[in-house]
Amino acid sequence: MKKWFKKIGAMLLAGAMAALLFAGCSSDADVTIDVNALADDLRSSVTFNDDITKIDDAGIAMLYKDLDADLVVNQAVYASSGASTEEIGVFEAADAAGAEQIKTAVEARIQSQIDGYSDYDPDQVPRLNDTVLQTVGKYVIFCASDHNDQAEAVIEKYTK
Amino acid sequence: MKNKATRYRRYRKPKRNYKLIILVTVAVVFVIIAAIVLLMTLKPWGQTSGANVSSGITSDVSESSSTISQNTASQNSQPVQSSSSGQEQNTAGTSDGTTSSTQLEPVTEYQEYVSGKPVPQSPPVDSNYFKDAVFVGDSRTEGLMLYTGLSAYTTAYADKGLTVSKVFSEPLVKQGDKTVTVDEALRTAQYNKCYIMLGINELGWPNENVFISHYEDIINAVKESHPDAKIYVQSILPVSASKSEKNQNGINNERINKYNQLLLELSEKTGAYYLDTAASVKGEDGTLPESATSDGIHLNKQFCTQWLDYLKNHTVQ
Repeated sequence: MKKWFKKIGAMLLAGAMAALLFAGCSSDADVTIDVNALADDLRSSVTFNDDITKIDDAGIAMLYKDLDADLVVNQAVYASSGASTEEIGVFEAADAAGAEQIKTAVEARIQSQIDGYSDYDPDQVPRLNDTVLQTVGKYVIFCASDHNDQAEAVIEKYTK
Repeated sequence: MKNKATRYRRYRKPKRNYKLIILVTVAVVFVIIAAIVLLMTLKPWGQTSGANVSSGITSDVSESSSTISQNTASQNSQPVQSSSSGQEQNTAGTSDGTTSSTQLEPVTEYQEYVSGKPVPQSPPVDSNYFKDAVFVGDSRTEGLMLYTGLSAYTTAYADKGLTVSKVFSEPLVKQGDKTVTVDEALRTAQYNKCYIMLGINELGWPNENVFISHYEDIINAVKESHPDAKIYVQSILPVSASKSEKNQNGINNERINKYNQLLLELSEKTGAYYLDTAASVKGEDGTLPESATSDGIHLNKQFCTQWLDYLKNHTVQ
């Protein structure tokens, strides 16, 4: 009887650990995000002070100078005309490795904004020091606003 | 008679196997936790996902200075001839049909440019006209490029905070592995047109003559490196009435108008063409409409489009 209980206990423990292993081992690579839908949702759902507007690929290349266009499968960016540092950027790479490189380019963009606005309009800098920047599988999601909680709530809808 | 040991043995409570109890308890706890985690993910098998959430940016970003992008433009273009006749009414319109406070009536013939006066209205051109042009400006020019799509056609050296002195002194243009000044960047390619709009960041300078002097240096530098290029000096766009009233850093419409008068005189002196770009976005009271801007200075998409339309309808043959 004792041996039976021991066996059952050991099996339960092993099974529970295996279940935990698979549950925690989430697969971001399986996520599929409509880049434009997410960007549009962020624009409409997050409170922005500025009238940020969607820009085309040429405009994105102008702003994201370190972004290698060959890495990007799809992208959507909302940017300010210069009045603020509020911005939305959603990028799709071919794979997670590409997403990491895109993330680096986005970080460079953020730093460039910090450097540029530090003298030009310092009030625009604080949000850049606490911005939402996520990588989910092959996607990079960036949102600079004063309402990170709103942005994260929107992003969560597309990444779950 | 049974001895005490026997009686004790009979009534002694059996020893518990604490190891087994602990093992089972831990196993049950693990099962419960695993069940909770699985329930939270709420996904079928093989489709669980999670976000690698990080707020904030890393501190080891290598980019340490703001830079200006460079777009290429390699083709000349001919102006598009309009078949309708009309005359300039000192107005501007939008290319996407959006109704604005001003509308341009197309013209079919070029009028002779008179030095000391703004470039008159001309037959409209399309965006291809700017393929051999370069734009030098501040954040407002940056907005023009972003919001009108013009960056796909032309080259722009535009940066927030760019001033007439920084054109020569501050490395802002990224070219390969190097970062060079706007002046140096201008010398690395050939352009047939150069559009300049600077001044909003210099309104707070105590002496406007310093501004004009540096501006003249820019015109001369362009003439030196591009002797055949048409140089367009764009008037400084107005700010909104509320922005003007605040008068921060010398930014007010009265000062802008004064600077524009000086730019008109400078154009006459240097042979550059003066574009009264401000007229494309001014309201009836001479200010930038409040609806055109979120901060009183930078234009929204509609008004950037009006600005571009003005440029397309005011060229020198």
